[in-house]
Amino acid sequence: MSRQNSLGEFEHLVLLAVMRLEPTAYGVNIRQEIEERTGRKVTLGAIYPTLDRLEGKGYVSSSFSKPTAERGGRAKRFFQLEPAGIEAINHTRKMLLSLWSGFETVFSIEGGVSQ
Amino acid sequence: MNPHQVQYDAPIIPGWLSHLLPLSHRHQVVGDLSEEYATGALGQPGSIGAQTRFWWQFLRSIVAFNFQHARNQALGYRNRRRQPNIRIREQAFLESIRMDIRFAVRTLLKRPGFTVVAVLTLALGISTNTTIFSVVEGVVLRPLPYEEPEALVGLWETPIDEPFTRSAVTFPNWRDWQELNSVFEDVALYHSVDMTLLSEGELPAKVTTLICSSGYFPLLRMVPAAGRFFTAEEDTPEAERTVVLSYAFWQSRFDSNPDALRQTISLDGTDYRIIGVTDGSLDPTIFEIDTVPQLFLPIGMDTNWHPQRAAHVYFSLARLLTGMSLETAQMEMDAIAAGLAEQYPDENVDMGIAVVPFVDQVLGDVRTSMFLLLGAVALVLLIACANVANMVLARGISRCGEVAVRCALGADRRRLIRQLLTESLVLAMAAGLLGIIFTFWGIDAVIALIPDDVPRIAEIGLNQTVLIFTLVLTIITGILFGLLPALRSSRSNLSEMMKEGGRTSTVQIQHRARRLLLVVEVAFTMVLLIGAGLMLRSVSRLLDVDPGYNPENVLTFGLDLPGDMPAVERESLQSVLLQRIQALGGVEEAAMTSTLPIVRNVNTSFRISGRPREPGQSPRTYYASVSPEFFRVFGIPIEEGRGFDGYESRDGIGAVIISRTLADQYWPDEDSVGQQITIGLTIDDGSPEEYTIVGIAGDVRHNGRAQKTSPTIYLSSSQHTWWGVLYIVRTRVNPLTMVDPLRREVASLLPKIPIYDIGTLTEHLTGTEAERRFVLLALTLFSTLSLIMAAAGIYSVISYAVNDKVHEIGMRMALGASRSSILRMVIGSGLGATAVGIGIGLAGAFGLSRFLSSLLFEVESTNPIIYVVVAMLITGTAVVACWVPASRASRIDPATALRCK
Repeated sequence: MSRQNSLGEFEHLVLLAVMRLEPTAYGVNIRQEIEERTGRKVTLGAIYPTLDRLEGKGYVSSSFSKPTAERGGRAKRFFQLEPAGIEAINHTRKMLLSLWSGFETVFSIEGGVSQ
Repeated sequence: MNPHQVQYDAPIIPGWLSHLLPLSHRHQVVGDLSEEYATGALGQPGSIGAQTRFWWQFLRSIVAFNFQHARNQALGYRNRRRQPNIRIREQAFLESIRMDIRFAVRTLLKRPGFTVVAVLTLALGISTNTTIFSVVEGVVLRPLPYEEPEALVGLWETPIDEPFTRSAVTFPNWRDWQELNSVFEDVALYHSVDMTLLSEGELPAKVTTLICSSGYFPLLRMVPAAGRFFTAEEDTPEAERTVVLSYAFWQSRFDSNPDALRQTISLDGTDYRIIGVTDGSLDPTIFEIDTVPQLFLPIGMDTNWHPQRAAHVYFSLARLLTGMSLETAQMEMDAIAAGLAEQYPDENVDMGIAVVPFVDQVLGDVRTSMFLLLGAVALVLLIACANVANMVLARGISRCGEVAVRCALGADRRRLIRQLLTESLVLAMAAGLLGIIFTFWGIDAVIALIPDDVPRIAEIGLNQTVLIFTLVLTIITGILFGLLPALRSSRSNLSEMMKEGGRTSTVQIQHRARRLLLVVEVAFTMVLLIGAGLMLRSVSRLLDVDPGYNPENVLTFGLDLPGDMPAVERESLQSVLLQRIQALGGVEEAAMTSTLPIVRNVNTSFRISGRPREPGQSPRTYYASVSPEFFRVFGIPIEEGRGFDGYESRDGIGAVIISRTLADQYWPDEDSVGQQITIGLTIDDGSPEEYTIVGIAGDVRHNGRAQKTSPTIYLSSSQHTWWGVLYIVRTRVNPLTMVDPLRREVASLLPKIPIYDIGTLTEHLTGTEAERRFVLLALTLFSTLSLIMAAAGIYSVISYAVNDKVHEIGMRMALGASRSSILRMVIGSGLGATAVGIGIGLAGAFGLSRFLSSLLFEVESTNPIIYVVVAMLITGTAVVACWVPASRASRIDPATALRCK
């Protein structure tokens, strides 16, 4: 498959988070989702450029909400998955699974990395 | 959470800080953070923990953004929404700056000796500059606290033949000016007196009171904090007796209680009703004594009211109408003055009006000294920078290996320069911080030493402007001393560097640069030393001048008797007190006088009887009414005729003693004793009186030794007394020990009258010299600092030169050169640069010393002796500085020298 479709590690995480949180995925909950599920502390400053890249590649698209008082009068930017993005996730997943195949019994993963 | 209840209360991020995030994401990130804060995801909103986390997340986002974007760029990524490239490069730039700073700090810490010396040197330079700047800022640069202070002017009466003499204003003249002018919004009149405040259960106290016309407060745009100010009715004596309190007075005496209005206070035995309080922020300083008045009285209440047109006792303030220029106002007032001179030939003849910007009045001529010191201290900083640049260059020589390797690894020259410059800036910043600490002490020292008559001393301090100045100065310093070495060090020939002997050519270049810096240092030091030398000579010559009297061990104090006391009672009280003072143990002699030559000058016009008044001439003279002991106590000789004996009135004529200058000027060929003179001073009935000259006294220099002697007329206190009198007491012991006994003596006779203005004549005299002494002190300090730094610079340059030339010296000695010839060679090379520096310094001092000329006394700014002495001093210092490395050089063992490369 084309190299263009393969995702970097962080891009992968972000895209998966967007997929989980659709259609109300935005900076704050993407960050929380990644932190809860992977234990990895990420900053908003790292998430947004990644989303930029993903949007540039056409994997996600964004839209703006109304400004809220909580945010000091600033709008929220919501992200949605595009078909190209779904394809990219799928592709990466297939690649990984294919390399992982056969090891299911050796490494058992139950609900998160907490172990 | 009910969205209607949510408010925005996250910490506000300043605009410039949020600009570290690119525009497209700025709002998202800040918005997200704010939301997280508001929803409590970061902790309880408002708690320290939540706020800390907020900022921490923000800062980390900035960092992460930098890296992400750098990565984006590296991958050749282009956002569909077109991030401007500049933005990405900017983030990368910030990152590299941070790296530079980290590296610079590490490098500096590796060489603590160098770093400490450099930081200390620069800190001294920066702190001296900041200290002097804080003085200049507080005293000169800061605008006066009034609205549109440029429109404020002071009005003075000036004799036409002496346009720079400013005389106080008279009441009737002021009234006429008010009515006749069309250039001012209003003209106000004021003067300050000390009055006695009597309060229940407290000792009588002296309070400084400003007596002013009703226009005074509106002119300064002052607004009452309570009550009201004076109205036009209160400009006349018939109005009710009212007083306005200053804010500080209201706070301390009445606890800011609004009930103070309608109460009364007792001043000089009369009750005044309190009608208002000033707003403390704008309380005016009486500029000639630098105090804020505690009370204000309307001019109609002036018990010492002088309605005569010849009584010059008031000050006048006016505000130009909008758009009116100073020149136009001056022309109009000139016309008004001419009109009044015609109308009132006796009093106003040959008197003009001077319109002076109020700022000039307040600042006087301290500006010259201030800017002079600022210039001097800038030289000190430049010398410090040159010294540190020298040190950096010397280090540069030892670092060229490192530089070469970096070049080889691909660093371009600009990056190298930037990195070296960052090092200098980090050094400068450290020095700046240390300098601020030094400045704290410096400002304290300056305030303690500065002459008392410098205005606005209270406003000197380490404020925002001064701190910004320090910051800018620090950055400029860092660039100044860092740029030259950075440029030089980076211009290294790569292949040469790597070779063994490759250091030589770079070393030579560095060496020439260091010598150049040395020349600059020596030149500046010359200028400063010459300045200090000139001042030293001035002050010593000043102290040699005979002021005309003997100020040693003389105490003075003032006493004001109530204005409504009958003259007979007043005179009797004053003489009784004098006798009692004379009887005190520790008092050698005591006298009375109406004013003190050197403290307050009052002058009057006069005419020689029997001589026609010459047009354009209105002679004026200082005068005082004195008791017979006056001349003895003061140490003024009676040169001809006789002194007073206290019984002048017995002959029914007025008796005066005149000063030698006056006698010589108007009776050059004949005896002035016995001649008649008319004095324009009006005391009681308004008509000038004729006096007979009974004696001639020695000249006295009013206002300090630097002034030329001024004509003085002495009246006898047995014929003229005022409510206010000064006692002068010559003591056998230290005069200050007599203050309490005198106070007690006065209190035993006059319990309700306090004494004021207590001081010694020596203090008064030293006060007039204070400015010169201060400048001398400062210049001496600066020039000593510079000399030490220059000496250190010479030492280090020669030392390094010797180190580099070890091989060559060894060669010479092996070939037969003697120890002493090596000595001479080294010292000679050091003196070479010094000589050039001296030459430039001489020329510079020649040109610059004219700025000093207003402070010099009987010394020309181009006095050759001083120049030569200073040149010799520097040469001597240079020789001493070269001595150690030179003797080291002469003791080199040729064999060892030749062996090491």
